[in-house]
Amino acid sequence: MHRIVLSLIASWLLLAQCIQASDSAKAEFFESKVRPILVARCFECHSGEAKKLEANLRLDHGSFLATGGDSGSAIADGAASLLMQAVRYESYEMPPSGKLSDEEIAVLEKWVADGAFWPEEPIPEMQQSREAFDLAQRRSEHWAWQPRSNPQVPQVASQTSSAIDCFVQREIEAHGLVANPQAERAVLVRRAYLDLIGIPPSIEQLEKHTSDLDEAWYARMIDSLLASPQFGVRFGRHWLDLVRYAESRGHEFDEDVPGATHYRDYVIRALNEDVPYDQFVTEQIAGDLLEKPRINSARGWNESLLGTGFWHLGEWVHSPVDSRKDEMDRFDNMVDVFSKSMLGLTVACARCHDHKFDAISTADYYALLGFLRSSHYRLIRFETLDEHEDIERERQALRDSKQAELKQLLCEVLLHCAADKSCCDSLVKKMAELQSDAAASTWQLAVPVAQDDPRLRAAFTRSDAWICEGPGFGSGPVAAGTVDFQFAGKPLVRWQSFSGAHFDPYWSRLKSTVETVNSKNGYSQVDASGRTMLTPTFELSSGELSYLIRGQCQAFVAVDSVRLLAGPLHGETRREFREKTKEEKSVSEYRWVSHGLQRYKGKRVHVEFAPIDGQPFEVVQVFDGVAPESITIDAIAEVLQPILTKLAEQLNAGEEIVEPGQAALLATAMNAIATEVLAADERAWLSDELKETTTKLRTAIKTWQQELDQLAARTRWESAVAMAMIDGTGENHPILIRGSHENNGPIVERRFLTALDAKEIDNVGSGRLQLARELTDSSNPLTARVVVNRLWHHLLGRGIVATTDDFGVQGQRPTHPELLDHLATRFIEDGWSIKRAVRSIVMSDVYRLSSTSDANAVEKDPENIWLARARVRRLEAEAIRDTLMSVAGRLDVRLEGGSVPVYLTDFLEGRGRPGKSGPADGEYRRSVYIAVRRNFLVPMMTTFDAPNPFSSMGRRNVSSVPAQSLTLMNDPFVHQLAKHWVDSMFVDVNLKDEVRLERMYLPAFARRPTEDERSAAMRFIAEQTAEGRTPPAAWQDLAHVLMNMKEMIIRF
Amino acid sequence: MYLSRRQLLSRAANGFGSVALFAMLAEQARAERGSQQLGVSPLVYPQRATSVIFLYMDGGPSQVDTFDPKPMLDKYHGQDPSKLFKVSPTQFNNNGTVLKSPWTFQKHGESGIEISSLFPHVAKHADSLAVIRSMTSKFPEHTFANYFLHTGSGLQGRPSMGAWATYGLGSECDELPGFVVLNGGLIPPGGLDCFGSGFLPASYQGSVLRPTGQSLANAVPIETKSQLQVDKLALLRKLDAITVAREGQHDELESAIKNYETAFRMQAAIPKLCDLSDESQATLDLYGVSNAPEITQTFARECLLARRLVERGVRFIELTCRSVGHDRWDQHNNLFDGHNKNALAVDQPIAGLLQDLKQRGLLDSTLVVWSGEFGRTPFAQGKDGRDHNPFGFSMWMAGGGIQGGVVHGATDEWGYRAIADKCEIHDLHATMLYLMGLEHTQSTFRFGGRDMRLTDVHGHVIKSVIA
Repeated sequence: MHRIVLSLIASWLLLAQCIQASDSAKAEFFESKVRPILVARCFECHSGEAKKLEANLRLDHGSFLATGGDSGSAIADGAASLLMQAVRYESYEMPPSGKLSDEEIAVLEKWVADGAFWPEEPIPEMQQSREAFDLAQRRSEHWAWQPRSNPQVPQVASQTSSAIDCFVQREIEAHGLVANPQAERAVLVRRAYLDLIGIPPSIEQLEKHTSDLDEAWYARMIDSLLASPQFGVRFGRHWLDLVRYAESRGHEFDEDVPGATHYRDYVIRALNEDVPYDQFVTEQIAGDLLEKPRINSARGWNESLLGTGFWHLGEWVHSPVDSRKDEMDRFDNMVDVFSKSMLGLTVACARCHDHKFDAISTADYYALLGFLRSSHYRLIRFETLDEHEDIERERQALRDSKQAELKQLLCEVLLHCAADKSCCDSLVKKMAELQSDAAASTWQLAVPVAQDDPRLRAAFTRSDAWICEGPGFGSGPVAAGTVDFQFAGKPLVRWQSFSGAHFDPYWSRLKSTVETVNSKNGYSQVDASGRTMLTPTFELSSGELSYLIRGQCQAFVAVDSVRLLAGPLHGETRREFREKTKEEKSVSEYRWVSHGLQRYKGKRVHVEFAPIDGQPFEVVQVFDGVAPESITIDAIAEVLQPILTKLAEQLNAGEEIVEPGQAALLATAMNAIATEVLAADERAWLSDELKETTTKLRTAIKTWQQELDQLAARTRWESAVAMAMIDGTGENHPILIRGSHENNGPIVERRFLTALDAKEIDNVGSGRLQLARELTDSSNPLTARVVVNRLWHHLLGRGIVATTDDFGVQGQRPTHPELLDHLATRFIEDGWSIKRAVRSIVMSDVYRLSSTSDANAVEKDPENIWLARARVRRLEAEAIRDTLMSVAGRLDVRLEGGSVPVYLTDFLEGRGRPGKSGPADGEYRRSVYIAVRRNFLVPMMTTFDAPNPFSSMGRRNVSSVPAQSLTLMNDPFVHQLAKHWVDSMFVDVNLKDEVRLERMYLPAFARRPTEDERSAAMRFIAEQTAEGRTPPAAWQDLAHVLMNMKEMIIRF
Repeated sequence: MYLSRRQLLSRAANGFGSVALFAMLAEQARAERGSQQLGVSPLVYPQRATSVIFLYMDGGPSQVDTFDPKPMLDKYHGQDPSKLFKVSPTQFNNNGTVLKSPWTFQKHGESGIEISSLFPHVAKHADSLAVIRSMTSKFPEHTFANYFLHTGSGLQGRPSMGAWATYGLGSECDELPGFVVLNGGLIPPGGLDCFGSGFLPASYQGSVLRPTGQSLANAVPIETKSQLQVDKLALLRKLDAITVAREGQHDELESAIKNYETAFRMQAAIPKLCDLSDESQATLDLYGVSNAPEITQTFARECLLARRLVERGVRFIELTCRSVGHDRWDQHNNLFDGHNKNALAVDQPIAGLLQDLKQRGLLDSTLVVWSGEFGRTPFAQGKDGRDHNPFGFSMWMAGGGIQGGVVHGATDEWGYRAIADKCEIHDLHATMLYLMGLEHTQSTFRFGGRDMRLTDVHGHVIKSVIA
């Protein structure tokens, strides 16, 4: 270090000597004009005397100028240098306190232009050692990073029924409080129903639980609620809040998030099945990589895979001008949601600089980004994916079993033809038809470039680099010299010239289904699902890509992983390569095609190949640049006959044909023969001597086709699609200096957080599975604490750590740290079971306390931190709507299926508005099944604080606004529900008024009306009917009033 | 503060048996408002503007055709721009030749600010305007730029500036929301999220009011007789009071009850707000409510309603444009016809608003802001359009502590990039908050482990436009 500085000084001196003449003038200028500006306006942050050195840039000595700070040289490029840009407020805006005057800027400009003279002088000492980011120290100082303890259950004075209560009671006693008595039974029933399933008990349920004489009535009720499928609906919604669940992408046109509802249904199923939480989050992160995925017991599909949809639920932008920035924003959101939801950490705060407060470095942030850079978004045909793998294996085995016989037969024909002049003439004629220009006197044989060509970006020769998400391309390359059979309309046998990725039209019959509301983008992938082949990711160094293909296909170049093609830009990233005529569709030979991508030079891209109209195609190579030259050969039988003879003999002798030109020629010949054999009865040029052979060939092919038909009969073609993540090329990400995507720093190996003892990633792919393993390792102090705290928050109304998504220094500290560790430890010991953890909490005394508050208790503990009473809470948006419908007897509790479209009022306007409005009543489905469209969120939901799906929201706002009252007072849907409710009360017109009122109070409030309430209600009915209104009309208004009672939307 | 609120509420709770509850709650609300500032941010500066009217020019008006004359465009009309200056990527990637403005510019007022013939009415108020010719955005796409303009972030889901203002200062109106969006018909790309409260509580979100017909969702009672709703609410109060008497003090309960009173007042206030029969014909004509071309009448009504909202103490009012048959101000083609119609739709109403506020003495305390999300390219898109240009564009402010007759900043000779006194949207936000008496770095809300700000980590008050 010392030496570098010295040599820099030396070079300054050298420079100084050379231009001595003008030096005194420069020194004069520097001292009189430049230095005063630097001292007055820059040194506060950019010198040895700075309290905190900003951007690692010092401007108090000449030796620092050229190397500059974090963003590079301060003075390189003269007038366009970073220093000048910054003082002109063009990139950075320096000094931030106010721009320099024009004269001052001119001074600096001249100084820089003249070589940024600095006199010889010692480097000033750093006044204060920089406040370093010390990750280890931060980690050691903050509670959340410390290992989980297994605290002893404290002894307390009062009698308690669970360990939880001992921890809580200790604090109650310590704070001089007295715990409330247990709530009344009916209150407990309503509380448990609302908390666990989000709907209040019916009259019958209430009756059953309140009249149960067994002491274990409460446990029995809790167990029945945990067993109810509605539990998953309720707790599934809690999870959806964390993963910014939505069914559209927002932004300008609010495009669909295809198949999002399958993710929602997966979450609800997982909670109902009580999938262990460690398994559940592993599925979110790396469900695609599990060796033994979880199989849906009823439907047989790979359930784990659906979890990875979690990554892709964010906002997407169509047509971003700066695709790299867009990618960084998408990744940022993914890291943000991942870290908040599962770790309770705000890792995304370390995007531009080391975390201001927590033990999270910028390197940690970019280490996590590597996992995302190494992975792809795919739409998967989850219903058939696994079974198609088996089918494809069978199909390939069938092909392999045919090889020896077919090769032998084709070889016999070729040998014969090559030896016979007229037959060979006919063969060459037939071969010409397979060429692009049949009349030409020469043929252009497109051949691959050498495997070591530095411009080669993809060669589909190895199955370990196979990136696709369905059966369409099998599990690896089709080797050169394979005889393959293609089942597309007319049967067709193909001899493969080159090893490549081969879309087999067997899979043309795939039918993928998805609910569509708003899908205008150019490449939704739905059609291509199950039949798309991806290249590794690479940097596009030329302005075009060339593909060696056979057949016709579409190629989509994902630039910086931008996939939403729905705007003026990026249309050229998707191209179709069709063949000239219809006949040629599936028969022509290999050709190089090119894809112009001038705009994307230097960008990171990968290519996705998919068929057009299900037609077969092969892709052999992807080349970065203008298409390589083809081999030209004379299309004359005299020239070709000896070559073909030689090839036939070699083949017959069991030799492999590897030279590309020969391989291409051989394949053309074999394909011509095969076409002829299969063509028709008049085999003009295949002599009678070959009859036996050709008959055998035809029989073999026919058998093969029949066998494939049988296989096809067993294949299920239709499947819904859902989003998933799959592995791409394992790649690390550079640190971006100050978060700027235009300023790459050093590459960081992908890994988990340093403060959580990240291990080296040894995985060949993305490494996400290892990430998930480390996340769910029982030694991780955060994962279990974060999730049990969330359950506590949902059940007790306030987390032990109140800031449920931030366990960092800026978050609140746990009120009951030992209880938190106790819960987390038990949770892990109990197999990460959410249901059992919920059960242990709701079985505690503290959950069952009454909510009544006396002034003394409120005085002592206004926020109810010490839990001496139950917290009174307004219901969440979904629970309010579901409760109203349930009370009115109209709630439809069916699970799963698509979404009920949003009811579009005149007030819901804007771009991307769905074409069709849903019904005002939402088909009476539970609210979780109403569509969540980012730009058209349901007003009733947002009014009651349902979250805007942009980041993790573990703790919803609970606001109180007049719009809430207006909704309940004037929304036609609420009036409609009141009518339904009363209609059901008048099925028996002879019902006594008192009984009728009681039957309304019970489901609404889990109690009978008091005398005061009864008389007030009856007076209202009497007054209304006295004014000439019919009893049902008056009762409907009464019902509407009951629906507006605060007690309806509050849980005590 | 906490205790006094507590005491007030407990007093209210004791009185719940009384039929006078409604009146009492209203009184209490006023008492609370009088005794404490409702907002949460400290007033750091003198409060020059108590209300803001934001005239949002959806789509991005062209600076070189409105407030930033560039003779060079006439000189080099029809030439290839890439040979004249560095052209950055545009969204439509269909760049044509340099395009001169089809409108003429003239100096106006004593200040001599040059304004194009698109705004003959607004031009009369030149001496009230502070025109910023060096505004920039970070985004060339509508949605990003809209979120950025409205929320200081290009991403979805952040609080709108109206929400921040209301959060910071509270509202002085107890019968209307503090942040009102008058929807002229065009919800900007990015949707209603441009007016959202993001991570702030829902109470700060913009309430979208339509200038005609039913103004606010669910603000009209369904009960056919108004007495019926009154009767029902009376019963409701009685029943809620019984609940409170039984359950004791609970914030959730009490605030929900209070909401009904506000909602009831709001229900009555909105029809009154929208009923313009108490305005003189001269006032109506000033805005062009009925005498102007049909295309102008919507915005005229919006502007007049904006004044009425200001009078009622509403904190932040945003106006969106109506459709004029073109795609907003977003003239990717047919610039001439599109900008003519868009300007015609807003020019007289805006001038009327400035005039009316002035003559009622309200302009001094009302900040009026006119801006699009970005400007347009000085060269053509295709033949006769202009593409998005975030590198330099014009906007203006008036009233509420603004120095009139001022031009701040400049673009280059082409009107393409801001070169002098470059401003960012963050600076606009910092300035708006400053004029409202707030320091933008101190008006914060803790979310996701950070003290969030409208200006993120940026923003400088643009001092030279302040009186």
